[in-house]
Amino acid sequence: MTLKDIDDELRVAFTLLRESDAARSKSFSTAWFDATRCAAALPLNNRPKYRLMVASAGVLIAAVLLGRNALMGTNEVLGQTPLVPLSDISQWRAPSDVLLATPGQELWRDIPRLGDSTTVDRDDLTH
Amino acid sequence: MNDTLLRAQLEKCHPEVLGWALSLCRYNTTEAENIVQTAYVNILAGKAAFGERSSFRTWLFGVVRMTARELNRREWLRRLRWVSGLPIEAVLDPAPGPDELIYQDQRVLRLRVALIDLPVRQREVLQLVFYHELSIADAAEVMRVSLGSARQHYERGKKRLREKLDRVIT
Repeated sequence: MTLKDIDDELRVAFTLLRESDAARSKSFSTAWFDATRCAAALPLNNRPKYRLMVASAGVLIAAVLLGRNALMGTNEVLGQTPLVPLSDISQWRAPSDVLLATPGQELWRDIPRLGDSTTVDRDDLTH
Repeated sequence: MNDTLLRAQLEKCHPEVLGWALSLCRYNTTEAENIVQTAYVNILAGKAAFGERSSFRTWLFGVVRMTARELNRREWLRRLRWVSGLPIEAVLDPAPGPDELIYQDQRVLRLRVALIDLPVRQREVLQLVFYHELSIADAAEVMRVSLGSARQHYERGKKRLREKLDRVIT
Protein backbone atom coordinates (compact mmCIF):
# COMPACT_ATOMS: atom_id res chain seq x y z
CA MET A 1 0.00 0.00 0.00
CA THR A 2 1.47 3.35 -1.07
CA LEU A 3 1.49 6.57 0.98
CA LYS A 4 -1.17 7.99 -1.31
CA ASP A 5 -3.39 4.99 -0.70
CA ILE A 6 -3.01 5.46 3.05
CA ASP A 7 -3.87 9.15 2.70
CA ASP A 8 -6.96 8.36 0.62
CA GLU A 9 -8.11 5.71 3.03
CA LEU A 10 -7.70 8.02 6.00
CA ARG A 11 -9.50 10.81 4.16
CA VAL A 12 -12.50 8.56 3.54
CA ALA A 13 -12.52 7.39 7.14
CA PHE A 14 -12.36 10.96 8.43
CA THR A 15 -15.18 12.02 6.09
CA LEU A 16 -17.37 9.33 7.66
CA LEU A 17 -16.33 10.54 11.09
CA ARG A 18 -17.27 14.12 10.15
CA GLU A 19 -20.69 13.02 8.94
CA SER A 20 -21.26 11.06 12.11
CA ASP A 21 -20.30 14.07 14.26
CA ALA A 22 -22.54 16.39 12.27
CA ALA A 23 -25.50 14.14 13.05
CA ARG A 24 -24.79 14.44 16.77
CA SER A 25 -24.09 18.15 16.92
CA LYS A 26 -26.19 20.51 18.96
CA SER A 27 -27.56 23.36 16.84
CA PHE A 28 -25.61 26.59 16.77
CA SER A 29 -28.52 28.72 17.96
CA THR A 30 -28.92 26.60 21.12
CA ALA A 31 -25.20 26.69 21.88
CA TRP A 32 -25.03 30.42 21.16
CA PHE A 33 -28.08 31.18 23.32
CA ASP A 34 -26.60 29.21 26.24
CA ALA A 35 -23.24 30.93 25.81
CA THR A 36 -24.86 34.40 25.74
CA ARG A 37 -26.73 33.61 28.94
CA CYS A 38 -23.56 32.35 30.64
CA ALA A 39 -21.54 35.37 29.49
CA ALA A 40 -24.19 37.70 30.90
CA ALA A 41 -24.11 35.85 34.22
CA LEU A 42 -20.31 36.01 34.41
CA PRO A 43 -19.18 37.81 37.59
CA LEU A 44 -18.09 41.37 36.84
CA ASN A 45 -14.57 40.90 38.20
CA ASN A 46 -14.05 37.95 35.84
CA ARG A 47 -14.27 40.12 32.72
CA PRO A 48 -11.14 41.42 31.06
CA LYS A 49 -12.72 44.83 30.42
CA TYR A 50 -13.49 45.23 34.11
CA ARG A 51 -9.95 44.22 35.08
CA LEU A 52 -8.52 46.66 32.57
CA MET A 53 -10.73 49.45 33.96
CA VAL A 54 -9.62 48.75 37.55
CA ALA A 55 -5.95 48.67 36.53
CA SER A 56 -6.33 51.95 34.58
CA ALA A 57 -8.04 53.62 37.54
CA GLY A 58 -5.16 52.52 39.81
CA VAL A 59 -2.55 53.91 37.41
CA LEU A 60 -4.51 57.18 37.11
CA ILE A 61 -4.76 57.63 40.88
CA ALA A 62 -1.03 56.93 41.31
CA ALA A 63 -0.20 59.42 38.53
CA VAL A 64 -2.38 62.13 40.12
CA LEU A 65 -0.77 61.64 43.55
CA LEU A 66 2.76 61.67 42.14
CA GLY A 67 1.98 64.73 40.00
CA ARG A 68 0.57 66.57 42.99
CA ASN A 69 3.71 65.87 45.00
CA ALA A 70 5.96 66.97 42.18
CA LEU A 71 4.04 70.26 41.87
CA MET A 72 4.24 70.91 45.61
CA GLY A 73 7.99 70.32 45.54
CA THR A 74 8.11 68.59 48.88
CA ASN A 75 9.51 65.26 49.88
CA GLU A 76 6.59 64.41 52.08
CA VAL A 77 5.55 60.82 52.29
CA LEU A 78 2.21 60.16 50.59
CA GLY A 79 -0.68 60.44 53.02
CA GLN A 80 1.38 61.98 55.83
CA THR A 81 1.40 65.64 56.77
CA PRO A 82 4.73 66.78 58.28
CA LEU A 83 4.45 68.37 61.75
CA VAL A 84 6.55 71.39 60.79
CA PRO A 85 7.24 72.59 57.25
CA LEU A 86 10.89 71.93 56.40
CA SER A 87 11.62 75.55 55.38
CA ASP A 88 10.53 76.92 58.81
CA ILE A 89 12.68 74.70 60.99
CA SER A 90 15.60 77.21 61.21
CA GLN A 91 13.27 79.90 62.52
CA TRP A 92 11.38 77.70 64.91
CA ARG A 93 11.60 78.49 68.62
CA ALA A 94 10.27 76.39 71.43
CA PRO A 95 7.43 78.08 73.35
CA SER A 96 9.31 77.50 76.63
CA ASP A 97 12.40 79.39 75.43
CA VAL A 98 11.33 82.47 77.47
CA LEU A 99 11.90 80.54 80.69
CA LEU A 100 15.59 80.21 79.86
CA ALA A 101 16.06 83.93 79.28
CA THR A 102 18.49 85.49 81.79
CA PRO A 103 19.52 89.11 82.29
CA GLY A 104 22.59 90.03 80.29
CA GLN A 105 22.32 87.03 78.01
CA GLU A 106 23.20 89.22 75.06
CA LEU A 107 26.77 89.41 76.42
CA TRP A 108 27.13 85.67 76.14
CA ARG A 109 25.94 85.68 72.60
CA ASP A 110 28.28 88.47 71.45
CA ILE A 111 31.78 87.66 70.39
CA PRO A 112 34.11 90.65 70.91
CA ARG A 113 36.19 91.52 67.87
CA LEU A 114 39.97 91.73 68.21
CA GLY A 115 41.29 95.32 68.36
CA ASP A 116 38.04 96.77 69.56
CA SER A 117 38.72 96.16 73.23
CA THR A 118 40.06 99.15 75.21
CA THR A 119 42.09 99.21 78.36
CA VAL A 120 40.86 101.30 81.24
CA ASP A 121 43.45 103.49 82.96
CA ARG A 122 43.48 104.08 86.70
CA ASP A 123 43.58 107.84 85.94
CA ASP A 124 40.37 107.67 83.97
CA LEU A 125 38.66 106.04 86.87
CA THR A 126 39.73 108.75 89.29
CA HIS A 127 38.46 111.54 87.01
CA MET B 1 -15.04 42.41 13.72
CA ASN B 2 -18.60 43.36 14.70
CA ASP B 3 -21.00 41.08 16.58
CA THR B 4 -23.19 40.18 13.59
CA LEU B 5 -20.21 39.17 11.47
CA LEU B 6 -18.67 37.27 14.37
CA ARG B 7 -21.89 35.36 14.93
CA ALA B 8 -22.22 34.53 11.24
CA GLN B 9 -18.65 33.22 11.11
CA LEU B 10 -19.13 31.15 14.25
CA GLU B 11 -22.36 29.71 12.91
CA LYS B 12 -20.60 28.69 9.71
CA CYS B 13 -17.81 26.96 11.63
CA HIS B 14 -20.02 25.45 14.35
CA PRO B 15 -20.27 21.82 13.11
CA GLU B 16 -16.52 21.70 12.56
CA VAL B 17 -15.84 23.28 15.94
CA LEU B 18 -17.89 20.56 17.60
CA GLY B 19 -15.96 17.90 15.69
CA TRP B 20 -12.70 19.45 16.85
CA ALA B 21 -13.95 19.65 20.44
CA LEU B 22 -14.99 15.96 20.26
CA SER B 23 -11.48 14.96 19.27
CA LEU B 24 -10.03 17.04 22.11
CA CYS B 25 -12.08 15.24 24.75
CA ARG B 26 -11.88 11.69 23.40
CA TYR B 27 -15.29 11.81 21.73
CA ASN B 28 -17.40 12.52 24.80
CA THR B 29 -20.38 14.48 23.42
CA THR B 30 -21.38 16.17 26.68
CA GLU B 31 -17.84 17.30 27.34
CA ALA B 32 -17.43 18.51 23.75
CA GLU B 33 -20.60 20.60 23.97
CA ASN B 34 -19.33 22.06 27.22
CA ILE B 35 -16.01 22.96 25.57
CA VAL B 36 -17.74 24.65 22.64
CA GLN B 37 -20.08 26.60 24.89
CA THR B 38 -17.21 27.73 27.15
CA ALA B 39 -15.22 28.80 24.09
CA TYR B 40 -18.18 30.90 22.93
CA VAL B 41 -18.49 32.40 26.43
CA ASN B 42 -14.78 33.29 26.35
CA ILE B 43 -15.28 34.99 22.98
CA LEU B 44 -18.41 36.85 24.14
CA ALA B 45 -16.72 37.96 27.38
CA GLY B 46 -13.75 39.30 25.41
CA LYS B 47 -11.24 36.81 26.81
CA ALA B 48 -10.47 35.67 23.27
CA ALA B 49 -10.50 38.25 20.50
CA PHE B 50 -9.83 37.69 16.81
CA GLY B 51 -6.72 39.71 15.93
CA GLU B 52 -6.79 38.83 12.21
CA ARG B 53 -3.26 37.47 12.42
CA SER B 54 -4.47 34.17 10.97
CA SER B 55 -7.63 32.90 9.32
CA PHE B 56 -10.80 32.94 11.42
CA ARG B 57 -10.99 29.14 11.44
CA THR B 58 -7.41 28.72 12.62
CA TRP B 59 -7.98 31.25 15.40
CA LEU B 60 -11.25 29.61 16.44
CA PHE B 61 -9.68 26.14 16.58
CA GLY B 62 -6.91 27.60 18.73
CA VAL B 63 -9.47 29.11 21.12
CA VAL B 64 -11.34 25.81 21.37
CA ARG B 65 -8.10 23.94 22.01
CA MET B 66 -7.05 26.32 24.79
CA THR B 67 -10.54 26.14 26.32
CA ALA B 68 -10.45 22.34 26.28
CA ARG B 69 -7.07 22.36 28.00
CA GLU B 70 -8.28 24.82 30.62
CA LEU B 71 -11.41 22.75 31.34
CA ASN B 72 -9.36 19.58 31.44
CA ARG B 73 -6.97 21.12 33.94
CA ARG B 74 -9.83 22.35 36.11
CA GLU B 75 -11.52 18.96 36.01
CA TRP B 76 -8.25 17.24 36.87
CA LEU B 77 -7.71 19.49 39.88
CA ARG B 78 -11.31 19.08 40.97
CA ARG B 79 -11.05 15.31 40.86
CA LEU B 80 -7.73 15.30 42.65
CA ARG B 81 -9.33 17.26 45.43
CA TRP B 82 -12.70 15.53 45.70
CA VAL B 83 -12.39 12.02 44.34
CA SER B 84 -10.00 10.20 46.62
CA GLY B 85 -8.67 6.78 45.78
CA LEU B 86 -9.28 7.13 42.04
CA PRO B 87 -6.32 5.98 39.93
CA ILE B 88 -4.63 8.84 38.15
CA GLU B 89 -5.07 7.18 34.73
CA ALA B 90 -8.83 7.23 35.18
CA VAL B 91 -8.74 10.96 35.81
CA LEU B 92 -6.53 11.79 32.86
CA ASP B 93 -7.89 9.33 30.37
CA PRO B 94 -11.67 8.96 30.60
CA ALA B 95 -12.81 6.60 27.88
CA PRO B 96 -16.22 7.12 26.24
CA GLY B 97 -18.99 4.92 27.61
CA PRO B 98 -20.39 2.05 25.53
CA ASP B 99 -23.77 3.77 25.20
CA GLU B 100 -22.03 6.60 23.38
CA LEU B 101 -20.32 4.35 20.93
CA ILE B 102 -23.00 1.75 20.27
CA TYR B 103 -24.93 3.63 17.61
CA GLN B 104 -21.96 4.59 15.56
CA ASP B 105 -21.06 3.13 12.28
CA GLN B 106 -18.52 0.33 12.66
CA ARG B 107 -15.99 2.07 10.46
CA VAL B 108 -16.36 5.28 12.41
CA LEU B 109 -16.10 3.36 15.64
CA ARG B 110 -12.94 1.68 14.40
CA LEU B 111 -11.39 5.04 13.59
CA ARG B 112 -12.42 6.53 16.91
CA VAL B 113 -10.92 3.65 18.87
CA ALA B 114 -7.68 3.93 16.90
CA LEU B 115 -7.57 7.71 17.32
CA ILE B 116 -8.16 7.56 21.07
CA ASP B 117 -5.13 5.31 21.31
CA LEU B 118 -2.83 7.79 19.55
CA PRO B 119 -0.65 10.30 21.41
CA VAL B 120 -2.40 13.67 21.80
CA ARG B 121 -0.24 15.66 19.35
CA GLN B 122 -0.53 13.02 16.63
CA ARG B 123 -4.27 12.81 17.09
CA GLU B 124 -4.60 16.59 16.94
CA VAL B 125 -2.57 17.02 13.77
CA LEU B 126 -4.37 14.19 11.97
CA GLN B 127 -7.75 15.55 13.02
CA LEU B 128 -6.87 19.04 11.80
CA VAL B 129 -5.43 17.87 8.48
CA PHE B 130 -7.83 15.08 7.50
CA TYR B 131 -11.05 16.07 9.25
CA HIS B 132 -10.85 19.86 8.99
CA GLU B 133 -8.70 19.91 5.87
CA LEU B 134 -6.23 22.42 7.26
CA SER B 135 -2.68 22.61 5.94
CA ILE B 136 0.08 21.29 8.21
CA ALA B 137 1.26 24.89 8.69
CA ASP B 138 -2.19 25.96 9.92
CA ALA B 139 -2.39 22.87 12.11
CA ALA B 140 0.98 23.84 13.62
CA GLU B 141 -0.40 27.29 14.39
CA VAL B 142 -3.49 25.87 16.07
CA MET B 143 -1.37 23.46 18.09
CA ARG B 144 1.24 26.12 18.85
CA VAL B 145 4.13 23.99 17.70
CA SER B 146 6.74 24.56 15.00
CA LEU B 147 6.04 23.46 11.44
CA GLY B 148 8.79 20.84 11.64
CA SER B 149 7.35 19.40 14.80
CA ALA B 150 3.84 19.30 13.30
CA ARG B 151 5.19 17.50 10.21
CA GLN B 152 6.88 14.94 12.38
CA HIS B 153 3.70 14.33 14.41
CA TYR B 154 1.76 14.09 11.16
CA GLU B 155 4.03 11.47 9.60
CA ARG B 156 4.34 9.39 12.75
CA GLY B 157 0.62 9.72 13.47
CA LYS B 158 -0.37 8.54 10.01
CA LYS B 159 1.86 5.51 10.25
CA ARG B 160 0.67 4.67 13.72
CA LEU B 161 -3.00 5.19 12.89
CA ARG B 162 -2.70 2.84 9.91
CA GLU B 163 -1.16 0.16 12.12
CA LYS B 164 -3.83 0.64 14.76
CA LEU B 165 -6.64 0.44 12.20
CA ASP B 166 -5.23 -2.86 10.95
CA ARG B 167 -4.99 -4.16 14.50
CA VAL B 168 -8.59 -3.13 15.25
CA ILE B 169 -9.80 -5.07 12.19
CA THR B 170 -7.93 -8.22 13.15
